[in-house]
Amino acid sequence: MPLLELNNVSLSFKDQSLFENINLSINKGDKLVISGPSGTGKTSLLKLILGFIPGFEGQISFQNETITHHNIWKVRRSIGYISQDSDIGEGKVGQLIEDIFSLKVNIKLKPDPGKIKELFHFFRLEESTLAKDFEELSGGEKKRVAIIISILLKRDFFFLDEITSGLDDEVLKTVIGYFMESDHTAIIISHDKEWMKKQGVKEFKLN
Amino acid sequence: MSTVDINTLPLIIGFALILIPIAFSWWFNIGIIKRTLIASFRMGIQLLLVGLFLEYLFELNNSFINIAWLMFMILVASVSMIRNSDLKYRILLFPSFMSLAISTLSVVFFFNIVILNLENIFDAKYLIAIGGMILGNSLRSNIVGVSSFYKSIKRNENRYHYQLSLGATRLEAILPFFREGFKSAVNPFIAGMATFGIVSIPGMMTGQILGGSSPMVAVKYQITIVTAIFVVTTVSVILTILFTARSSFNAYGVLNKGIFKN
Repeated sequence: MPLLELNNVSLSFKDQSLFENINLSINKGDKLVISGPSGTGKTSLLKLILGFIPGFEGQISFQNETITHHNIWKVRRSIGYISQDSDIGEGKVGQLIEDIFSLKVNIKLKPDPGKIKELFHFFRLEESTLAKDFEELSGGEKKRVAIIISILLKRDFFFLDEITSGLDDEVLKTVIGYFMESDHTAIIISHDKEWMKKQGVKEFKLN
Repeated sequence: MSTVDINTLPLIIGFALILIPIAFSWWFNIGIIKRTLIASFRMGIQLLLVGLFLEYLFELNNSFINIAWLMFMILVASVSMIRNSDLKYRILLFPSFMSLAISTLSVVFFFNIVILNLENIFDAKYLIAIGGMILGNSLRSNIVGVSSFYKSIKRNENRYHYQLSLGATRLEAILPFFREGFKSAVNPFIAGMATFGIVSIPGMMTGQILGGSSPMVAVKYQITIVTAIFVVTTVSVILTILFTARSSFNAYGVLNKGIFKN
């Protein structure tokens, strides 16, 4: 049974078609890279599955249930979404993380400080980053903070939208390795060929 | 206990002072002459008409008409609030009206019943004058609060969507924007409150003193009125955001961009 299924999904903005009749089926553990030139709606496709874009055609099911406004909240809770735009919050990084784990559904997942530091080391971020203002971090640092948050949330299905842009080579390999060498499911939007080098990766082209 | 009336000629002379800002505007070529003229004539004519109307209304002092007039004032205030926030009437007028009506009416009646212990709580002098005062003063804060709330969600759409993706409920996701809107709505009021009496002699106090009240009576009214305005401001900003949020977000919790004009 596929985890996520798209049937004839089409999206247009102001009578201009962005994509038409997309059919996709994603099983647990799949790694799918969505590629294609910019402006073909890659980001929109992810947002649409998360219920952020109204008015598309076709049908999307998650765990064999059609996604509606009733179960979209559950779908969102199951997916670790890292957006291309890293403007995800403000204030001190430590506080930002704390606020996320004060949301009702995440309280039980509250990580111990040791786990946070461990992940910061793993993704080569200074521990002092926790005390810095999120908005003052570099693009690459923001991306890594977002990655760490999604891991701390213990999601096992990831939507990764251009998460490797702005990362240096070594960190990039760490990040890609983390997602590819696990049994997580992931939909990846990236121009980076590095993802495609991994075994078992599927590709979906949008034109 | 009578205030010196202003006769027609002095009234015209007083109004003619408007020529001073107009002269400056012309001299420095600021380009606001036309707008100044239109606005000041509107101000003059509207006030004269309202003056005539209120004279009649106060004479009549019919409870039903008084309350109807107050409701009409609340309606105009809600229209003005939505227009000045660049939002659409169709979706937001009713919830805004409800919010202003609930907050204004409850505080005005509390004021008339508990504080003033009036025999007729619908008395035009209190209901309309005090109601209008409270409404007018909380209107500005409501405009600031509501427009800042919606504009900042629109501007920070990515942050908002990110909150939803983290598992936030709609209420949890709007909370940071609500706090921001609320703060920007009440901050100027709180700052102003601290300077009352020293930097500014509020209009109401001036009016009462001119009308023959002792400064102490005027001050006591002022203290309770300012508090009432503050309460209505906070309650109405909260209610307006909560009530309008019901129709400005879709079932998926996403902001309906159709609420914005253009």
